[in-house]
Amino acid sequence: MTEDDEAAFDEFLAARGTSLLRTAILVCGATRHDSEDLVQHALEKVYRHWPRIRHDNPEAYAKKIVLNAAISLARRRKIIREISFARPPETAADPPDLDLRDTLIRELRRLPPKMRAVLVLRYWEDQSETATAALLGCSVGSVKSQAARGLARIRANMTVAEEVAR
Amino acid sequence: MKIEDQLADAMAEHVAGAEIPPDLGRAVRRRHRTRVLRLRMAGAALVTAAVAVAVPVALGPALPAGGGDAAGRQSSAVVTDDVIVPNVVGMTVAEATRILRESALRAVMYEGGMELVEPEGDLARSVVTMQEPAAGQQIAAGTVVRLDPGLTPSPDPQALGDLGDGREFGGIRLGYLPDGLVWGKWSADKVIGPGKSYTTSFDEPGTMQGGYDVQVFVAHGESAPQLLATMPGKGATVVDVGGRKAKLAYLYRDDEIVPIGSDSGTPTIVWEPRDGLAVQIRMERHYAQKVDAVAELKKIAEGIRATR
Repeated sequence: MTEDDEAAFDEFLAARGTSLLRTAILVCGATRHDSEDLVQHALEKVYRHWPRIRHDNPEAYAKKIVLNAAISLARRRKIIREISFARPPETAADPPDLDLRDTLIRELRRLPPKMRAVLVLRYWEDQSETATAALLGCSVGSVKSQAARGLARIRANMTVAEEVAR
Repeated sequence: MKIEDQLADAMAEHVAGAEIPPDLGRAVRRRHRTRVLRLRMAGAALVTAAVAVAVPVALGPALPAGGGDAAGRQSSAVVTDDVIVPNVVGMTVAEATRILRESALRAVMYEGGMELVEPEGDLARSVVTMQEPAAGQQIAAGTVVRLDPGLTPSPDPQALGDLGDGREFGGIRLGYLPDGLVWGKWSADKVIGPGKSYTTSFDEPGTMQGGYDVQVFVAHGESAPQLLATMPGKGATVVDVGGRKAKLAYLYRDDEIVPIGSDSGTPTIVWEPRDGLAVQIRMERHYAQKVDAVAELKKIAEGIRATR
């Protein structure tokens, strides 16, 4: 790795690091600390192949690793996920005026990791259906159906929550 | 406002404060050096393994050497074994892998366009949702079949309802909890293996939603050995809990033991209070830095009694 490679890697981190971290937080749904760890892990892989990939869309490469790792982590730690994503306890009364945004994030976290990844890429990153499909290595049809099903689930759960609150 | 716009706003707000730490570049390079060192250490073992497999390959049936004339090509087409791809969609990853191996095909797990390099644990029980090439196609033996593992159905997050102070659940009672911890008001069942298993957690009141400080897992019958097996075989400290041997370690990413006291590890203890009943307690690593984690884990463990 040349000095030029090293400097370019630092520039890449400064420019894209935060965006990768935010994607990881939204997709893996783990704690901030775990998400940072995951991004570090992904970036180590990027660093390993940096001289080869730096001129060939390193961001897409890094993002694919982050997404794959975030989905795997969410799946491997299904049990942990259940804690972070557990519904508000039915046993304790929830404040009925729970912030809408908190509720949306909680419902997002309850979705299967891959479905969540589709929603994050489509609606937060504003990626096209084609770009989302390429990043996740699935078909455009699958992106369409996952996005529609994800939104429908969130909508349905929010309606239930509203009825309970009433 | 449409729900996707509301969701986009919520996501933007949720991560608005998240920035990469200033020393990220250094951390990535440090991690890289550690990995290179570890690979070098493993190098010698790999060379030995390569020599060991080279022999059966050399003794195996010689493959046709791609003849130049028509007869040669024809014979190569005859010699190469073609197989019909079996249908493995709907099977567990473990089953699908076995069936493909029996058909002389290789299974590789893919997700997000990437090969999953550590298809273990949960994944083996996941159900295959997609395969490529599809069933019924005729392909050469030894070809890779890509499998996309779906998710195993998740357990009901509120499996056990209102547990009061949460100290009695899943067939055990906790006699001791560190000061300041209260029941996290959630529970799950069917968390590991085919037998009965449960989990719940305790945290400090006011902890951010989704946090936990101490989580307890209980596994009965066939699930008990599986819970015990979550602790890596070597490297854990053996401690005495009520006359039974327990394993205690700081775990990084659930499967790697790091030194006791390390802030990247989750302090974890697992043991069988009686035969056929396994309990695992883990302490969230930030909380662990605030207390005497090892002493507290042992005290919680010693306070646990089976209630059935």
